[in-house]
Amino acid sequence: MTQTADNVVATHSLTKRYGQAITAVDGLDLEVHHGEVFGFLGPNGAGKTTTLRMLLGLIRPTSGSAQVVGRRPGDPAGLARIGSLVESPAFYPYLSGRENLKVVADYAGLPQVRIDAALDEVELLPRAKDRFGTYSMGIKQRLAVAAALIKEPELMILDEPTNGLDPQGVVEMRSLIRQLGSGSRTVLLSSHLLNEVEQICDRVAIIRKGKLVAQGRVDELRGQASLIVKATPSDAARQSLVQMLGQAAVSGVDGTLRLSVNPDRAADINAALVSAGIRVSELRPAERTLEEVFLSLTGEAA
Amino acid sequence: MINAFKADWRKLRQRPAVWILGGILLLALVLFGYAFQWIQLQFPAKNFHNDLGLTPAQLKVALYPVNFVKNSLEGVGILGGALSLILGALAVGSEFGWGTVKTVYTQRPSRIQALAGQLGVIGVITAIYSVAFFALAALCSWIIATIDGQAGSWPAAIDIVKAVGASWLIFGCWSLFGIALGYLFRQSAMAIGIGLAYLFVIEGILFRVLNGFDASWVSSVEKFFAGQNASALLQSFGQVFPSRAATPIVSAGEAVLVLAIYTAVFAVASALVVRARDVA
Repeated sequence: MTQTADNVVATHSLTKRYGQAITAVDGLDLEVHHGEVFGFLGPNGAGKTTTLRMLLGLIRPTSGSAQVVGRRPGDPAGLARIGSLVESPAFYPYLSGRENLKVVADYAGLPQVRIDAALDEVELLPRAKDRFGTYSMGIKQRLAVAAALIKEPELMILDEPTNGLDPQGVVEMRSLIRQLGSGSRTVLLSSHLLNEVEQICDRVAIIRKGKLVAQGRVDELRGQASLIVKATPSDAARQSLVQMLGQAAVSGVDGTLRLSVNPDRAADINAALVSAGIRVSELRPAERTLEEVFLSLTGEAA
Repeated sequence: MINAFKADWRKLRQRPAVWILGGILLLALVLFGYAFQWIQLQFPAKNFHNDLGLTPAQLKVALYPVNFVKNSLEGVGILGGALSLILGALAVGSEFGWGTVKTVYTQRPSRIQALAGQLGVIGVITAIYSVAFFALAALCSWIIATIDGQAGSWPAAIDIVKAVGASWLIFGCWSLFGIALGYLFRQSAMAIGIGLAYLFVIEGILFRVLNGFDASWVSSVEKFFAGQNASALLQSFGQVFPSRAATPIVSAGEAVLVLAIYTAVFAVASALVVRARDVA
């Protein structure tokens, strides 16, 4: 485990087994740096929620270790600096939104004066007097974010915060997450929404069947950009490009060629093809999306 | 622990079920402890018969202030234990049902501090139940005595204090049993079902079977069961008409000691489960 001052979360060989047969998390080494928005991706059942629960001290690891905000998971001093939303928002249905936040503030030993500011931040003040049991899923999620915010946490752990939300709720939650990650706060976000993660997150980790399969900056994971070429005659174009760039750099079918080269070379390639009498109808840079990376690494939809 | 106590007090004092259970206890006291008895004795049937050979007027003495401690304990004391068990099981089981246990454990207090706060609040609520129970019993007995034009002499203050303390211990012991079962089963329904089955049935069946052995060790074993000690503690305050009474199997002091040990054991058992378990 590389526990540096810059790491807000660091795990070393973190493992959780249920009996002999099920390994939910298998030797996970994770590093979340201070101030970044970190995406935690994986198919259903990959071990994301189990990992987050271990980081919060709700579940004890079978082996391995973890440090969260410089403390062991579940340490009261550490929990005081962490805001979290794990799976569905859970509050007392007979209490109003505001009373629920008072309960949370009491548990956390926080002054009640922060409550209205937190409710305002998630635009819940008009519904603060209503019972939690009457809230829609979107409002429940926002209350959970408000509960996390009253602690003014340096780390927010959000597990599938858009689960169960309608399209409008997803848009609102996306905006809220962007807002949460805009300052110096660290956000650890588990999500299925790869497009969202791609836009919001600085770095991501991808796990599959409990094992880490990739971790790094989003642009690193997407890999080197490439060029897409459509030219006629296509056979002559392929032959010319193979001669120019080498067999390994040229791929593609049905007249569309993908060139594994720096897109800055587009003008040179165009000139070479034209001078060889080949007509170029399309020449553009192409990047792999995070979804393509995810699918190639996990073999599954998110 | 103070923070956990404040949080638990805030949520439980606003929970309707807490006061509904207390209300049922008080309603049962008024109806079964006083109202129905007074009506039966005020308007006796033509063929009224009492095993003790007492007249309705003589039996009414049980309902007057001087006997309010004995009468209320005799009448519905055990119901308070059952309702307290439900209170404890609900306080814990609902946290698992609503998923709020993870909300609590991801705030600042440790699990043991959260449990300690919870036990403290349940202690306060059962104390409120006990005080309200005897306050209402006193009020009912005073009203009846006033209606009947009887002079209102009262039990000694120390007896009233002892009765409040004894009922608090019994209510507290059973509520902690409910809490321990709630943590064990991680739900209310099973905790309440098993708890009430034990309170009303299992101990009774067990001793009916054991008594069939006609051996001296049976009575020795009996002395260590919670239900038997709770009954003995209630009986230790005496009965208005002694021939109704069964002889307590242990003294009041022994019953208090055993119930206090049970209360501590339930608290420690809860703490062990709380510390050891993952929150899924």
